[in-house]
Amino acid sequence: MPIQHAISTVDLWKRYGPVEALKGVSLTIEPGEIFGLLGQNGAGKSTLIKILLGIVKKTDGDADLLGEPAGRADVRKRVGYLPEDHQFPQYHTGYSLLDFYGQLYGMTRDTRRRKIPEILEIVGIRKRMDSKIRTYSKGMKQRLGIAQAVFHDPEVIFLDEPTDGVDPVGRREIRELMEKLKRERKTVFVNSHMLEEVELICDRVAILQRGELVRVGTVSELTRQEGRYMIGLAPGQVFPSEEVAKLGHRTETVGTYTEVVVRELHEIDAILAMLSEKGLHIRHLQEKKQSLGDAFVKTVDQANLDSDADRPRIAKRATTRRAQ
Amino acid sequence: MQFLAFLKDSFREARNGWVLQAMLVLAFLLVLFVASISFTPTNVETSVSSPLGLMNWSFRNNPNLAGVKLEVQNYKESNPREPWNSDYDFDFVVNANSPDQLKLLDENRQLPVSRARVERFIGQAVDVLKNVKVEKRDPLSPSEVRFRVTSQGTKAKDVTEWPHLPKILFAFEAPLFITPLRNGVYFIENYIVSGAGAWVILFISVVITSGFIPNMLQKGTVDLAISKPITRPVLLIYKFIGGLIFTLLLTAFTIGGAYLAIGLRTNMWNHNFLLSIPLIVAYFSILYVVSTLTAVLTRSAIVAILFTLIAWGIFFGVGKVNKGVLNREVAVAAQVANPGEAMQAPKPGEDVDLDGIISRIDPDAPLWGFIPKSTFGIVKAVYFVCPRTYQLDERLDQLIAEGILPEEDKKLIKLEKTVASWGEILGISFGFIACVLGLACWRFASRDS
Repeated sequence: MPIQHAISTVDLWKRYGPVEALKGVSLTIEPGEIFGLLGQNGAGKSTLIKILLGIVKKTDGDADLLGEPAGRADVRKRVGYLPEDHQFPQYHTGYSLLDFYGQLYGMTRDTRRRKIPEILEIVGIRKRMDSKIRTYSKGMKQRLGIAQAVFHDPEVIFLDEPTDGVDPVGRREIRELMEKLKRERKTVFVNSHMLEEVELICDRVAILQRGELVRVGTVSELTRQEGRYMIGLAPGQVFPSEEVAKLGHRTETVGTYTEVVVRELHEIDAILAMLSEKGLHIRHLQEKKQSLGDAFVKTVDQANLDSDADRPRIAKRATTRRAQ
Repeated sequence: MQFLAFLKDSFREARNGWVLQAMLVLAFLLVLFVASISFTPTNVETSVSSPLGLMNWSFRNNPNLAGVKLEVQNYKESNPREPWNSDYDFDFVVNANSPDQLKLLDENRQLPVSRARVERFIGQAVDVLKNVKVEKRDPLSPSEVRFRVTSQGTKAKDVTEWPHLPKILFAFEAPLFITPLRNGVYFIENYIVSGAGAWVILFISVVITSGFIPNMLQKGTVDLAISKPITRPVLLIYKFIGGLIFTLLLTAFTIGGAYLAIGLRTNMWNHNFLLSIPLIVAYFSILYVVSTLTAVLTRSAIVAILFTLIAWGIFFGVGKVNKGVLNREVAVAAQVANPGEAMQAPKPGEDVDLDGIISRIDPDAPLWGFIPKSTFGIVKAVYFVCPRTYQLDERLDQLIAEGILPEEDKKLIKLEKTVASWGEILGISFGFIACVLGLACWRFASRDS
C-alpha cells in the first residue's frame, strides 16, 4: 500500500495570464507535520493553498490532498482553512457563524453545541460569542478565523497568516494552540511572515520565491551555518587565533567566544586536536546557527541574484532564437 | 442539513439591517389597509337619491331652476333584511316652484322628468333591479311631476352580487365605487394586493436579494465559502433558493394576511387568491435568476439590480407585443375567413376593438402604429425563448377572477385574456431558469474563486 502523504504536489504550475504564480512546485508533507511556507508578498504562498483547496484551478501538474486530487468537496470536510484577509458575513455572531459552518461540515447539533463554546474559549472570545461579528476587533476576527478552521476536528489545517493583526499575547495563545494541534498529530500548513513563530513551531519549512520552491528542510537545516563554529575556552585561557590562521582558517572574536570558519567539516577536528595538544580546555563548542529570518533573507537574496543572473542569459537565448 | 443551513443563513442575511423587518411592516400596512375596507349593502332609496342630490345641488346654482327638487317618496321594499330578494315600490317626484320650471326641466333631455327618462335613470342608478316599471301618477300640485316606480325581483342571486358601498380606512365612504361585493373583493385581490402590492414586493425583493450573491462572492468571503465541503454549483443554487425563500416569506405574509383580512371582513374566501403566493414567487424566480447570473459575472449588486430591471421590462414588453401580434393575426385570419364581417359597425355599447378594426382595414398595418409588421417574426422568435412573465401575470388575474367573479364576468375576463397554456408558461419559464442558473453555476465553477 503506498504511503499516503497529507499533502503532495508534483510540478505544480499556476499561470494568471502572463504571470506565473507557481513554477513547478513539488512538495510533500507528511501527516502530523507542522509545515511552514515562507515567501515574500506575491511569492505564490496563498495560491498554493488555494489550489490544494480547489479555490483556484491549477494550470498544470498534480496536487493531492489527503491522498485525493485537490479540490474535491468531500475531502474539504477533513480540512480546515483560515484565509488571509478573510471577511466573515457581518450579520453573524461568532457562535452563529460557527454553527452555520458546523452544519456545512455535517456536525450534529449536540456536537456543535459542545464544540463551539469550547473552541471559542480556547481562542479567547467566548465572552463575545453572541455579539455580531461587525463589532469584533481585527484580532478577534482573526481568533474567530482560527476557531472556524479547527473546530470541526480536521486532519489538515491551512493557516494563512494566522497571527496577522493579533497582539503578542494572542500570538502566544495561537502558538500554544498550534502546539496542541501538533500533539494531536494534526497536519498544519502555515503561511506566515512571523518567522520567529514559524521557527518555534514548525517541523519543516519551505521558502517560495517568485513561484519557485528555493529551499525545503527542517528549521535546524535551514538555520545551520555550515563550517562556522563557536569555541569557548576555560576562563583565563587565550584562543590561539594566529596559529589557527596559519592553518588557513579565519577566526573572529565574538564576546568570550571565538568563531572559527572552516572550509571542510572535518577540518574542525584538526583545530580541536591542536587546542588539546596546547593544553587548552574547551568549555563551549557549537556549530553556529542563524535565525530563520536571516536564513530567509539570505535565501531570498540569493534567489534574486540567481534570477537576475539568469535574465541576461535568457534574454540572450531569446535574441539568438529570434536571429535564427 | 447543508440546505437548511443555507436557508437559515439567507434568512439571517435578509434580517440583517432591518430590511426584512421594514418590508414586513410595509406588508402589514398593506394588509391593514385591506382590512380597513368594508362593504355595506346599498339601499335602493339611497342609490337613487345620491345622484338626485347632486342634481338638486346643481339646480340651486341655476337661477332659472332654483328651488327644483328631485326626490324619492313613499319608499317601500318587501324584504328590507335581504334587499337582493326584495320587490320595490316608490314614487319618483319632481318638485318645482312653477309649471314654467317644469317646462324648462323637460327641455333638458338629460334630466329624468319624463316616464322614459325616469326609467332609463333608474336602470342606470340601480341596474340590478328586474322588471322595473315606471308609471306616471297624478301630481299633488300643478308644479309637480310624480311617477310610480315598481320592480319585481333582482338580478342578484345573493348578497355577493348586490351592490355594496365600500368604506375605506374604517371611516371614509366611497360612493363613487359602489359595486357588487364580488367585484369589490376581486378589485382588492387582483389590483390592490396581487397587482400593486405584488409589484412592490417584486421590486423590493429584487433590490434586497441582489446583494446576496455579490456579498458571498466578495474577496475574503468567497474563499471561506468555497473551502467548505460543498461544491460551487450547489453553493450557488442554495443561495438562489435562499433568495426565493425571502420572497416567499414576504409574499406569503402579504397574500396570506390579505386573504384572512378579506375573508373575515366579507366572508368571501377566494382560495384561488392564495395561488398568488407560488405564482408571484415563480415570477420572482425568473427575475432572480437574471440577478444571479449578473452577480456571478460582475460581483456587483448595483449592476445586478440594473440588469434585472432591464430584463423585467424586456420580458414584459416582449409578452405584451407578442400578444398584440397574436391578436392581429387572429383578427386578420377572421377577416380572411369572413370578409363581409369586416365592414360591420360595432353594436351600441360594444367595446370597440381598435386593433381589430385597424387590422381589418389594413392587415399589414404596423402594430400600435410603430412596430412594423415585418418584425412580427422576430418578435415571435424572441418571445419563444423569453420567460412568460406577462402571461404569468395574466394567468394570475384569471385565477383570481375565476375564484370570485360571477359566471358572466368570468366569461368576460376569459374573452379578454386569451393567454398561453400553463404548460407553455411554466415549461418555458422554468426552462429559462434552468438554463440561466446552469450558466451561472458553470461560470462560478469554472473560474478561480
